[in-house]
Amino acid sequence: MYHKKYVIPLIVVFLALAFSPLIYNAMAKSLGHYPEITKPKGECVESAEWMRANHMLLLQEWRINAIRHGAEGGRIYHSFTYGKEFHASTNTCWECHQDKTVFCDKCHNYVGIKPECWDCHWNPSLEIPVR
Amino acid sequence: MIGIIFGVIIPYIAFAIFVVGVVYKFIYWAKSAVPLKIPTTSGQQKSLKFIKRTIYDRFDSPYTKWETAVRMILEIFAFRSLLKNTRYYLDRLSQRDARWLWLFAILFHYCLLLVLIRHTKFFLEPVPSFVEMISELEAFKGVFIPSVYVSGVTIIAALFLLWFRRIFLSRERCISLPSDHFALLLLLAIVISGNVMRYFIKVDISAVKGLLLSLMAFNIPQAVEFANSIEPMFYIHFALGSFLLAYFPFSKLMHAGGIFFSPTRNMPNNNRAERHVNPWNPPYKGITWQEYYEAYKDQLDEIAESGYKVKPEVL
Amino acid sequence: MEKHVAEKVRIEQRFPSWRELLKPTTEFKHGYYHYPFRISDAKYLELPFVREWNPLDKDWKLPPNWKEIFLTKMKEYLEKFRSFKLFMDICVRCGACADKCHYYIGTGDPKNMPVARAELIRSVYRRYFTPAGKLGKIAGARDLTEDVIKELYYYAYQCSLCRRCSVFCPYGIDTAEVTWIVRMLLKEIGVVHRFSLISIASSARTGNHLGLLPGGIAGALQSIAEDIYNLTGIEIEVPINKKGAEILFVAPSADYFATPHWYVCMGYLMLFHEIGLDYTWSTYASEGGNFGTFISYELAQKLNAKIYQEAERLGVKWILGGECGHMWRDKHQYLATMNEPPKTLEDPVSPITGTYFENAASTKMVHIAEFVADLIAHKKLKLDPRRNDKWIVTLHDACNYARAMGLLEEPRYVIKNVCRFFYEMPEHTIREKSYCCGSGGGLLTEEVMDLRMRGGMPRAMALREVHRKYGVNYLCTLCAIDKAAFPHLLEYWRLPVAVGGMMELVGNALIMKGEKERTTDLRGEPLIRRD
Repeated sequence: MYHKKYVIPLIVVFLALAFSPLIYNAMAKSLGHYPEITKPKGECVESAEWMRANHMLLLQEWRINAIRHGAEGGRIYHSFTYGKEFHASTNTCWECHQDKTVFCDKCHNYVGIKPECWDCHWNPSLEIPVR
Repeated sequence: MIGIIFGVIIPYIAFAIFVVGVVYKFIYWAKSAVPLKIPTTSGQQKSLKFIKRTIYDRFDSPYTKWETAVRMILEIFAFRSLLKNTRYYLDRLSQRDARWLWLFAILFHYCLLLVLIRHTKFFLEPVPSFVEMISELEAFKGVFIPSVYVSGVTIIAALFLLWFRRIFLSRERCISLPSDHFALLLLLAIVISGNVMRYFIKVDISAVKGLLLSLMAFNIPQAVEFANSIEPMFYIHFALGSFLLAYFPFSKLMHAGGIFFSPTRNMPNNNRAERHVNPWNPPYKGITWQEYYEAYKDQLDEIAESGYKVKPEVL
Repeated sequence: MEKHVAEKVRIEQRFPSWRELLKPTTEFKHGYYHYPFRISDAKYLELPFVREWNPLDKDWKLPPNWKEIFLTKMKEYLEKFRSFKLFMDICVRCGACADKCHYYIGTGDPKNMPVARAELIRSVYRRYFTPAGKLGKIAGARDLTEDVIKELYYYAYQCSLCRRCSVFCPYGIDTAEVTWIVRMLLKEIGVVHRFSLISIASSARTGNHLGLLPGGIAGALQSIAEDIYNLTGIEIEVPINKKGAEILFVAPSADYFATPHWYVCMGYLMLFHEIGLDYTWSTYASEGGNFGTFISYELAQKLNAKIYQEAERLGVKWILGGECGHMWRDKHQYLATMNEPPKTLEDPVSPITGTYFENAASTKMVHIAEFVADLIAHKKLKLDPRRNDKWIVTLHDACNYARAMGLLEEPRYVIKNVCRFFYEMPEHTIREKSYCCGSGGGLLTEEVMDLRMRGGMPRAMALREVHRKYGVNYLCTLCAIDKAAFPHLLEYWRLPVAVGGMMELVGNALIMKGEKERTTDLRGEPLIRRD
């Protein structure tokens, strides 16, 4: 092999890049980590598996229905899993999920997502400044 | 079952092929000698003090190691040579810009870089703040809800543009092999499935990250558990991505590593100042002065008799 | 006089599918294929499989195990040349090089695109050296057959090794390197063209491509000195084979008697006499050029080794090189690698100005343009640029010293000091983007005249532009092959432009001590002054 002076560092850099997630996680001691979520009691509006992947689409749908069709009953949501009716509002969520920090934020932080919703909307973990 | 095959077994194999393949390719190239120093000089050489070299000359015709390094960096990060592209017209003699290829190429490669950086949030725990920042910046956070990542959409456009070149331009169509189309189509399939997954057919991404972190920890039972809980849509994207990784080292995509070895770019143009040694230089085979002298003795002696010089015959 | 009606040159562009492109072309067009080697040259150079053969024949009389030899040698060269191995692997066929090749522009033959030219051998590489090649055609691979060999011969000798494509390639893939190695591979099975081999054999035997014997060189230099005497009234002594001189001067052998090279040689002698340089010519190393570089590494070494041997024997301090193109690719990039510089040489320092040529510190060989530019910058020459008023000059950067050496500003510096009217050709046809004359790389031969004239078309059109715009009537070039090729090319493209070298302009402008009033220029044509 020729030019070892350049080729070996190149290989090392490549390997370091390829394994950088492994090294990073090992150093952060987070290999195989998954957030522990405090699950509230009872059932959600849909099945938990469906909600895990699609809750943002559901909230989006609720938002649109509430704004555009609120007066003609848009705020009534028919659950396709349970066949029940719910009031389409985040307040419905907060009835069970009483603490955003131990439920929502856990996963959102885990996958590096910061939904803009809570910049304005109320949630139970919100600290209201004392006058 | 899908989860075990496409979520656990194939990613491991693909990653192993990728790493071993790329290192093998590096060593495969490094095993060949570099007999000659053959930089392509695209600018003025360093010679006399009063011959000015512009900044472009210094990096297009580098003299020192550092200038060569800058040339390589420009080549890798700015596609400098493609940027020189001009098109020849028979009827027009002025220069015409034909830098579309450069534009499409740089669009694609930088989008790919951004996409890869954004994807590290599925691999790194905790998510580094700069990854979050880049994601927020390129989504113009707050403009669309949910966020639309610019790079993710642009990369589709860039790939289509690169592919349309190969389909609609006659010259490019004629030199494109099936493997060229295949590489573009594979990338297109990956980015399109990724975008579909992001905006339309959602999957549980916390489980995806759980799977990846378990794979990294070699915690197979946990990985299988996560893998089985993820929706099939994810496996379209993931399996294609795995295939790309495995395909990478043995295809033209390896140009990404090859550029570092390119002898016309990674050598300084100081040939006459620093000797380059060829490791397999053969010995000289040819006539020596002695043999030459014996062959043309009378003529050479005649030159010697006249004092090793000739004078004009003045009439 | 018979009225000559020019035939229309038609450039037919064809765009076959990739499948068709993989099929070997075996129909050799007249004016595009090279004649086979002469037995005597091949025997002298000890090439393998010397025999009578003809490219137009169906049977090329290849050795029975030609395929085995070709593939073994290919494996060997893959190990010997990283460039070859890498360039086989990393091309993405982006097409950036496609319209950069002057042969492609001129002929429209799709296989003359640099990428397609390299693909001819790359398809063989894929078939035999990569795992995907087993898939066959769909992977862009093809079997090595006799037809493929014929095609390789046909197209490897339609490339002038000018490296223009390499400037534009995002990975720096150098088709010259690929073509060079294809020619080496073909040589191993006894397939070489005639033109280069004649010159290589002459140069190996006599020291120069033209086969001039020592007496002939002395005679030629004497005639040149006589011309100078007639022009200036100064008797110039020309040292030959002089031991103990400070500088060995090496020029391409065409300078000894071809025109317009001759005027350049007059320029050398006048300059060296005027500055009183202690130098010598050599008959053993009487060739600066190196046609060996067109065929193989070993042949290149066979020819350029002589310069160092002669420098050592004569005990000179350093070497000065004349105006030539591929010579400077050879001297700049190959010479000191192929041969170790003799210890007896010293660092090149100009005896007139004391300038140390730092950029030639190891090879100890300085280009005449660098040397003259240095003299002019130090005001050591008395120049009258008005003597060149007849000429409206443009400069053609020869491929090899532009793209393999980076000698761009020195000739311009000199030319701007020795003549008053200098115009550049369009920006995309000069400097590192310079178009080839179409006859380099071993193509300076009669049988490929059609290819040469078409290949030179882009250059001719660029010249026509400045000829019409500024009235340019002098094409200056520092390349011996250019000087031989351009007169034909410019006649073919109907351009009334003279061709010459930088040193001719210097010789014209140089005011020598004790010269008589000049009435003519070096060409013997009356001086014209524009005021």
